[in-house]
Amino acid sequence: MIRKNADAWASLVILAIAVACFVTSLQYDYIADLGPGAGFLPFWLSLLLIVLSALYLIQALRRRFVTENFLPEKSGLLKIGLVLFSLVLFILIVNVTGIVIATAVLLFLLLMGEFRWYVSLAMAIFGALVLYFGFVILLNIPLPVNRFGF
Amino acid sequence: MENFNLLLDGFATALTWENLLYCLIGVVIGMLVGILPGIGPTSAIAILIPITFGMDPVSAIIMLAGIFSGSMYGGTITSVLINTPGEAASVITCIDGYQMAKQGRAGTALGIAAIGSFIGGLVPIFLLVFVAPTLASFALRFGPPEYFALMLLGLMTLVSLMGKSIIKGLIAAIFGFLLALIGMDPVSGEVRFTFGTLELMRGIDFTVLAMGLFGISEILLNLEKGSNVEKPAKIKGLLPNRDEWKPALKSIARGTGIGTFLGLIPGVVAAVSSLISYTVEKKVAKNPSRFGKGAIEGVAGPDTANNAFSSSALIPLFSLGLPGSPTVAVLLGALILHGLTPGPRLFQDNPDFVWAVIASLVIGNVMLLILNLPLAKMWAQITRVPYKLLFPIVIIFCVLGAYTVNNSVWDVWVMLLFGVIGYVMKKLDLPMAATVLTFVLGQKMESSLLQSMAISNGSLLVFFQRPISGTIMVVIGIILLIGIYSSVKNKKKMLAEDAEI
Repeated sequence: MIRKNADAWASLVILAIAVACFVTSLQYDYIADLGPGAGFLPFWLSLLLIVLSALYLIQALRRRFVTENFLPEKSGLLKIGLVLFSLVLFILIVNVTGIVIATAVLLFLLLMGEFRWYVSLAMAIFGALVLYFGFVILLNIPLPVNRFGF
Repeated sequence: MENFNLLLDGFATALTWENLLYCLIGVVIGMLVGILPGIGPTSAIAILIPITFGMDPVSAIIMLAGIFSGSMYGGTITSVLINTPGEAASVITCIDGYQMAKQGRAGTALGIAAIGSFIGGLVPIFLLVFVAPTLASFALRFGPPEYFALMLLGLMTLVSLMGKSIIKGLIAAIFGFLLALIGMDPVSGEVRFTFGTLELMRGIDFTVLAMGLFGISEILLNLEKGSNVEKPAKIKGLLPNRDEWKPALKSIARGTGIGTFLGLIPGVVAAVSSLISYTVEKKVAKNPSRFGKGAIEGVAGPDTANNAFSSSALIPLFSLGLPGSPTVAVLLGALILHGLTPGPRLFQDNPDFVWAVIASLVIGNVMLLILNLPLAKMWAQITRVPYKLLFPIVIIFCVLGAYTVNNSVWDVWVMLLFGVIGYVMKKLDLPMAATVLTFVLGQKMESSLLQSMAISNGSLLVFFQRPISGTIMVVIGIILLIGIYSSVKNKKKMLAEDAEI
């Protein structure tokens, strides 16, 4: 029953976050020298969030919300997965490979599904070079570079 | 009269070559953003904030405000020509605009929309010139309780009237609020919710959050939908027939009024102004059955209204420091990043800045009228740019933008995380607008709440005992009741547009 109820799952995740925040908020001073302290708002906000997510869970179990197609179809899921994967890969390699190679890889992965591979590769390298000249050389924006300076 | 002279000074600043150029860049980007489906004004402004870091604050805000007005013009073009709204406020324009295009009158639809947008965009600016400074000097007398009440009002309007469910709206709002508390508390020096992470000490950066929530999540949603672009309709003749002028101008006048009024109310989004305008036009029309079949009033009214809205929404931003809608919230974030504090003191402390931006809004609208009337055909071609080329560019801009905020990949991770969160929120109808609003206002809301309670020795009654804040609290109560009532009665379908991304 709950397995196909995205709202119920979401409410459980929010509830967990709320409880974590609530427990954490107890470490901060509820009262300071002049009125309420740094812990005042976190305490009440996370308490409120606990109550609200519980209400959300109850409503979700009663099927008050209809969230259709929470997960996209297979082709959409693949595209989203590819975007997320290429972004993660970019973040992981950029400090080592430098901006040009990392951007070229990112662009290539994003374009790969839509064009022939050599077209994608050419566009990716071209895009990365344009970016490098525009941002690093013209605008002097400090982007990560490898030991060879690009 | 004094305001008028200040405005002239503003024109002097805005008319320098440099600022004219930034204004033009802004409105052109805005037009592109409006035309290209899959990227809206809020994401565009968020993505471009990092580029403005090195710019003079005046030029930066002139450019970003230009994007906001430009996108409202541009959104119309795709709605009319290919029946695809480029941004949420233009959804309504599709109804009659596309029908007009089918009848071979695309040019007329675009022409009247441009004229209406121009009028709708200008009138609130004059209101801004004469009303905002007075409002600001009045607001200087506001204490922390009044400010807190005002911010709460904006939030509650958004939560209880806009979303489908009040519970979901409140969850989204509190989520944003908690995110705003992450990092070092400026008052007590206490470090909150960092869970031992060094990078979280300085808190979550607004630009990074906005780029993730709006930019990345939008791309993910679009990819999954897949897009099939229609061939744009042909444009012939831009002006309406002689007998259409009168009804069209009347609709434009009504649209201006509706948009201006709604822009002043915190918590309303642009899409609502065009929706209400359309409803009104249908109600006052002698023959409502024409609507949906290419009625010119159905284009003129709503399109004017969303432009009037986007100009008018700047009044509470400049005079009170309160963002009404998510796009304006992002603009507010940009102002803060450039070291300006929006609020009643802005007119006193940075008059040259405010008046230059106001003047540039007038200039921007003139530019947009020129860009739209004679050049409509050129813009129509842009609707053909395929999304498969567009989205990698947007992603690269997001990644670089996030990186340059602090020159660290940490922020790129954060942006990616919020991209996924935004995607999930959108799917579940959790209103992101509420999250962004509380995130921007979070620190201000906390400090005004704590200060108010310090005044009253810890009693919450302080909000009800002072006349201004007391009145606002009563209004908040009424709005909340209306929201609960209509959500129980399930009458919220009409207003359930949490959009403007």
